[in-house]
Amino acid sequence: MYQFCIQVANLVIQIETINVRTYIFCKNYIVDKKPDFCVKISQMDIDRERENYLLLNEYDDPSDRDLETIAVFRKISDGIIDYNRFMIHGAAIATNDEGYIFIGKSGTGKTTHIMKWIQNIKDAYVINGDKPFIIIDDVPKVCGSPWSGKEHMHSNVVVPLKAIVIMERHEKNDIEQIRFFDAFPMLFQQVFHSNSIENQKNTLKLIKGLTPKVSFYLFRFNNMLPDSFEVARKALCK
Amino acid sequence: MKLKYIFETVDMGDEFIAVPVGDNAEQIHGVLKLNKAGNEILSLLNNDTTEEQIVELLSEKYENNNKELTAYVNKFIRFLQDNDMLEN
Repeated sequence: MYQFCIQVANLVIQIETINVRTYIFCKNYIVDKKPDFCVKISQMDIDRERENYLLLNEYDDPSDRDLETIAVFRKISDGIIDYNRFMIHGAAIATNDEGYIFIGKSGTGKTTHIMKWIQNIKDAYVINGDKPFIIIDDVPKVCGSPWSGKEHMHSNVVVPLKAIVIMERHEKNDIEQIRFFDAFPMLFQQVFHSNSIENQKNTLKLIKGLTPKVSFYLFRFNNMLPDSFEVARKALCK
Repeated sequence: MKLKYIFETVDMGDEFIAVPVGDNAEQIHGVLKLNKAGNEILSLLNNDTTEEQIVELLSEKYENNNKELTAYVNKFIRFLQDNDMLEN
């Protein structure tokens, strides 16, 4: 068994695993502090994760070590709801000490788009390329973690969240600020859903906590057009 | 008739968002965006009721028994039926 603590989203989480893979995976987040809560993985958790995985990826053969890392993430994503935090599927970047999360269906072009920010803005960096955490507080914040998608782009930071941008593919580039009420359906689709009804209800309360501090935008874009980055930047960074 | 699913409502003032929660929630692909009347009707459908009872309750509450209210309730219930959200 391997036992260690990590700090993500300003929480210290004790993790207990069967394999060493997750310890290595989390190496940039390991701390020696008293935990806020604990996550323990059993072989049953790994087996359950394998069943879920194979439903969507019929011909893959994931190892126990890889599945254990996913199981840890699932338990953390569930546990943090009690601490006014939740996980969202999206690409998060920061510039000028402000965070922006780009959300949208898989394959929309989120990663391609955020790379334009990194290439064009000197102080811009990726907070998490796939599944950042959000802290709901007086000032909502977006946080990095090692669970960051296949590109493994992440930073061990916690940054005030300025805006969430819903991305949709379109012929031209256009961005407009929208109401939380109109952003909610897509937002909800991209937030981690717990199996427990109580946690599901608490997650909804947390999502509502994003407003009014966080702004929401609908960005219809075409990554093939040269001005897609500028259109977004002008609207978001004013 | 009553709702097949459990909905949790996010109150946005004059507007509401009803989100399916629970074990079978994934069968509904999306959320319901409601005004005050829609939210009231959805709430009444948490218990077994009839369209007529819903119209009567809302008429009493808002002191309004005009045809528009009846038509609105009918339209909303048809929507829920067409999207397989009601039992019976």
